[in-house]
Amino acid sequence: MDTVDNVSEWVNDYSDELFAWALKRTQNVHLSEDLVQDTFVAAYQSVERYKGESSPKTWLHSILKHKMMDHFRKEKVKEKYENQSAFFQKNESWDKHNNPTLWSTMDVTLLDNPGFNEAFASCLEKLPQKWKTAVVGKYLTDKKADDICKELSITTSNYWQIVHRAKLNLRNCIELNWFQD
Amino acid sequence: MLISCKKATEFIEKKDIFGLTKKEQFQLDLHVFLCAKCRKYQRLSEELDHTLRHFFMNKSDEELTLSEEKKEKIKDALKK
Repeated sequence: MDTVDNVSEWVNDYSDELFAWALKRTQNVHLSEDLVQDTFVAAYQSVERYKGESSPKTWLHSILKHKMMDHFRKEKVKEKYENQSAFFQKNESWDKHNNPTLWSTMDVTLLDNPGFNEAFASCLEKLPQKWKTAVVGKYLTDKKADDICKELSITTSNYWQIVHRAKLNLRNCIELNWFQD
Repeated sequence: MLISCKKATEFIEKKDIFGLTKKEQFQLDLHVFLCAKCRKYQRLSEELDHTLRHFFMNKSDEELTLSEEKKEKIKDALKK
């Protein structure tokens, strides 16, 4: 059996698992597909280095992890997201148009409202990918903050700043698209 | 000792993720005591946490697999 057949066999055996792993973190189908494809191409190119000391699954997973880290290291976050002047004034007090108001989400009917969930999903979609993954890491997985930082190639202080900014942006987006209708 | 609203809201997030130093905690407590807007944000932030957890909890049941078409595409990419 030649190398292409070997690696193709791995595609059959492990691609679903790798895809699910990436999708869980990124919540992005296209990005996850690309990362999985890059993983197998990289595995094929360096298959001589795979000595069978770990299972192919473990080896492929470690390649995927690195592919994801590379992706986030290169991702540039648009300035409009980094810049928080929309929420605060120059002296860092609340901008008068952005004074906090409560949502009453403790009211369960809101969270089970399909329209609200749709609006929420599209607001999440608008966040930079790295931020979305940080938010998913915090609220969906039970992973330790240090592990999330490693996967995203960010520092710990970067992490809480990202979650903070993501929440301010989400709040703004939901209030514009849901509460004001 | 007084911190800005921006700093206070950042501390709210830092507290939740890593915890605060004694000094930071004091600064946050003092700010929130004096600032009604940030007091409100503190509660809004909890609502956001609650919403996010609820949202992802419902999504985590979805089990998605890679399409056969995409798998074939990957195998083709290997042959190039």
